[in-house]
Amino acid sequence: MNEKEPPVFDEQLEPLRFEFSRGASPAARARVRARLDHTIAGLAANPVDAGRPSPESAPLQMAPPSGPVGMLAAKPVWLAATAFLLGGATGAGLYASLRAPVDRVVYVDRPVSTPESSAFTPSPAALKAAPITTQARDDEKNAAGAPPPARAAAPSPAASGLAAERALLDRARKALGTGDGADAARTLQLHARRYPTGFLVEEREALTIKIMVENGQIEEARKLGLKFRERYPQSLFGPAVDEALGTNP
Amino acid sequence: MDPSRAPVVPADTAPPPTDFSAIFERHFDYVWFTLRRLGVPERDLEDVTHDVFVQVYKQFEQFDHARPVRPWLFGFSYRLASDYRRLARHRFEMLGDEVETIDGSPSAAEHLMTRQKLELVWAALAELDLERRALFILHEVEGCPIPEVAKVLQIPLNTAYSRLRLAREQFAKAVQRLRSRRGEP
Repeated sequence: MNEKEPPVFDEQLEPLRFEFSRGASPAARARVRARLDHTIAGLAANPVDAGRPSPESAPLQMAPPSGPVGMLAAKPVWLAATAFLLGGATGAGLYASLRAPVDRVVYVDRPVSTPESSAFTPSPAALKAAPITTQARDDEKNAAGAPPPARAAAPSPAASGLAAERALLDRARKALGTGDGADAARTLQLHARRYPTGFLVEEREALTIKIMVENGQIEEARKLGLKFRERYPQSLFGPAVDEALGTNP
Repeated sequence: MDPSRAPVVPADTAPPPTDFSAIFERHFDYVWFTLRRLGVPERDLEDVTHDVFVQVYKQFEQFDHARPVRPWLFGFSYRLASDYRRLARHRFEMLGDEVETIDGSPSAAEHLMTRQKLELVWAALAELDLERRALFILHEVEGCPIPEVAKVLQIPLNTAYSRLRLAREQFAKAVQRLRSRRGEP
């Protein structure tokens, strides 16, 4: 199809322009902004879990004067000023009494059944470049797959699980992009252990095939590719799998 | 795309924002309506929009400020919408359900006409599967060139052209059928 064809859908699509010009509901925007402030405050308190550096080194400039983030930033200053004015023990006592409680982050391991689902998982044999190491086990604690801190906005359990799965697969994809196939494979194994029947199994399998190709395990990758196509004939990742296997027309 | 052709969604000509807060303020509507067009129903739009911006926040440092921001945001929206639909695969897609009232229409008649036209577009878009719909929206609605679309959706260029052809055909047929059902010419 030539991109320079004359437009044929302008009339039909015009209502979308109108819709966009009206904008979304200001109330909805404010609610999302408030939730986002809350979530980001939680992420900033746990930068490792957030998958990004600490706020001090990050260029992020979330507006500090308003919302929970601003309140959190302002509180220590206010407390220090109070302590200075009241002095000594009074100030210290006041500080202790008004100090925001420290969040307790509790990690709860989800019980994981043996991966006997119909979906294949990236076993160590299949991904020979990916031995499980203590690093992988540490990652299991620190990966973004850990539950969000208690202070963060409380999404539904399904949404939290999905976000955690998404974070792991993003990490694997990023490792693959930087040429670190071993780390990518380890991360996929981690995902397979934690979420043997997760929401993103299909995407994990597609990534597994890609990593196997990158690691030179072409024949195994082809076999898994065939299984993948049988299992997910309409998969969104089908073209990517075909491309990795060199079967894309 | 023909350079003389204006995209349906007005182009974002301002330089990309350099901080997350500015991205949120400037592009909230864009993410909101993109998710809507990708099939996220009104009742879950706030949740999914929130999730998109959380992902944007986490990956903000990877954003190449030399590139336009909207295709980058579209990539997040597409993936989150895809995840959402996988979670909600047992639900029927109801584009246009519980839509908030469009304020400020000059008249009730105009409001109704616009609403009917919007519903037709939504219904036609809903007939496209997500990958075709995403491509169609990026190219036909937003005016994003196909090579850029292919990058955003992480598909080969030839696949993108092929998918565009199929999406156009499918959309045109859907519009025709829906119009004839309504008795429109």
